[in-house]
Amino acid sequence: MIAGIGSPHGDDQVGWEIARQIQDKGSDLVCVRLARTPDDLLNWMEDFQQLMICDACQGAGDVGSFHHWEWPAQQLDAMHWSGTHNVSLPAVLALAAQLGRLPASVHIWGVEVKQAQPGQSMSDSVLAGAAAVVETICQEIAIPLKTVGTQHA
Amino acid sequence: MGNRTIKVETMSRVEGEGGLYIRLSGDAVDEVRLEIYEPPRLFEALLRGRPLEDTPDITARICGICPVAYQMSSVHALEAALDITVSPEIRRLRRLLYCGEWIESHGLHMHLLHAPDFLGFDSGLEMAKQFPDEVNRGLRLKKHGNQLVELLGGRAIHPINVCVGGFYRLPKRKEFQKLIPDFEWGLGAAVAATRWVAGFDYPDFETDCEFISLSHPDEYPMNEGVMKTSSGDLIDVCRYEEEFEERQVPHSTALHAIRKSTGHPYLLGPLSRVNLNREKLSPTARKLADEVGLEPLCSNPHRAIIARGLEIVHAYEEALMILRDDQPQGKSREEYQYQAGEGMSATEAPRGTLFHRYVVDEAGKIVEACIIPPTSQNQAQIEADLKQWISHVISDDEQDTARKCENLVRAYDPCISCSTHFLKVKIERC
Repeated sequence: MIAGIGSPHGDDQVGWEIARQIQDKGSDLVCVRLARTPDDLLNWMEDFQQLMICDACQGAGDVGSFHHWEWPAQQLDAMHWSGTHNVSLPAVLALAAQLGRLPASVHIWGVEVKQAQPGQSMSDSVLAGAAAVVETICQEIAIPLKTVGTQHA
Repeated sequence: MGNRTIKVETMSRVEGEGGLYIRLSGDAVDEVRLEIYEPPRLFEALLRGRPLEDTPDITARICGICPVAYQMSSVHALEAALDITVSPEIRRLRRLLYCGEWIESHGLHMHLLHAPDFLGFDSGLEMAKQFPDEVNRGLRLKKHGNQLVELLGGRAIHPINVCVGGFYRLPKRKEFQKLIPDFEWGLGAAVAATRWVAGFDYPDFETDCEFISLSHPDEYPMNEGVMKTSSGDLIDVCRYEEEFEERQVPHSTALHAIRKSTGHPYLLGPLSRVNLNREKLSPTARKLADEVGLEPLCSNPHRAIIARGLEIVHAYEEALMILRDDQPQGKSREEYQYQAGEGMSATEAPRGTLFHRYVVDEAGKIVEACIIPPTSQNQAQIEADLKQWISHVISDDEQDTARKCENLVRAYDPCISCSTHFLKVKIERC
């Protein structure tokens, strides 16, 4: 499963953008879902062996740069991940691990963002970062791609 | 002991953000303030001039936990203004939708927000290490609630399928049938969850307050009824604003509420609903209330978690009845003509009675909107109860005092975002 986490606001759209672009390339073997908050993942992850999470991040590098971690990774705790009610992505993954809900393989792709203002579009540097992540993920999963539907939180 | 102030800057495991300020003179409580500093969200002004059809979708945005409540109160109020009577089928489906929201909201609060207080954990994450089965159960209940809201509402958060007159689209019977096995498991799990929380060690504390909720002669209150009080009054919803008054206080962006005739605050929510409507609970929930020994009029706010459990059981049982029997058919919504008028409605959100009133014009535009959410109505009672509670828990250990005050506030499951709209605790000793 590939899960994009985001919102319609500015650079915070990047998680959704990556997931949508992968969906457009599509594969019957890949389920693409869009989440508003990290805790949405708790409802979905049980059914999958592999989970790729795409999200905006802050504190990892220059704006637009992309980063990859395999869970568990200590660096994740040092960064800023937004989430409602202070439920951050690392907190959700830690809870899922505690509860035995975590897929065997969890990879996190983050694109460094700057602004998440309502009504704003993504900045060019973040869009470029999204495109780079899409290309890398598609090469990594290396499976035949078709069109499938996206499910939205 | 001198004078001191205890302040919790930001309370955790409540919806939204706010603080708690306590000033003490020795062991005497000088002042308790629930400081709600989230900015006003001005939804009522936002609605003015907009087509009335926009109202359920806009008001749903007030809360990600209880959007259905906002949709239900808004469509019922607008239907009153337009003299629309919905079909029995739509009425049943609206109750089913509300069941989903109660299951989702109560399941989350019981297992991940409130239970850690009784078991000595700072968070659901910490609790999950020792109680993984219980936390997993809470997450599954929440998922069921979300699935039901998604089926009827189009999506789990901020649903979009509710409209004035009914629904934009009716679900298919096979979609109902798919949920039944999970809901049969859920009913058993909700019973187990209620027995689990009923076994917690509860503080010996009682509040002297008036309990108020909707009441209906034929059913457990959700979408309609009259306001019933523990002092024996029945108040027509049309008289809501005559009977209850919202007041501004300097320390809160959310209004406080009192009952005009008594001048005192009052309490809404699951404990009030169960206290006043116990005989209308579903058979399994009613029997369980007796089995776990919930008092006929329970005045201990900490025990509201048991009431939430009973309401989850009720919601599963009622949902199963509808899912098994119902064949969604007929018109998905009633047609209507615009007319100038005023309508009001109160429905039972997970946290208590949610009142809406709208004035509409002959072109179908909103002229005036009034939304009175349950948490803002409960705030004054929460402050009053805290004043009483502090004398039970005050000690030299300010962190411990603050934590116990937070425990009480969480018992009411406040939704600060809705009420503004809450929590940081500051205790000051003078």
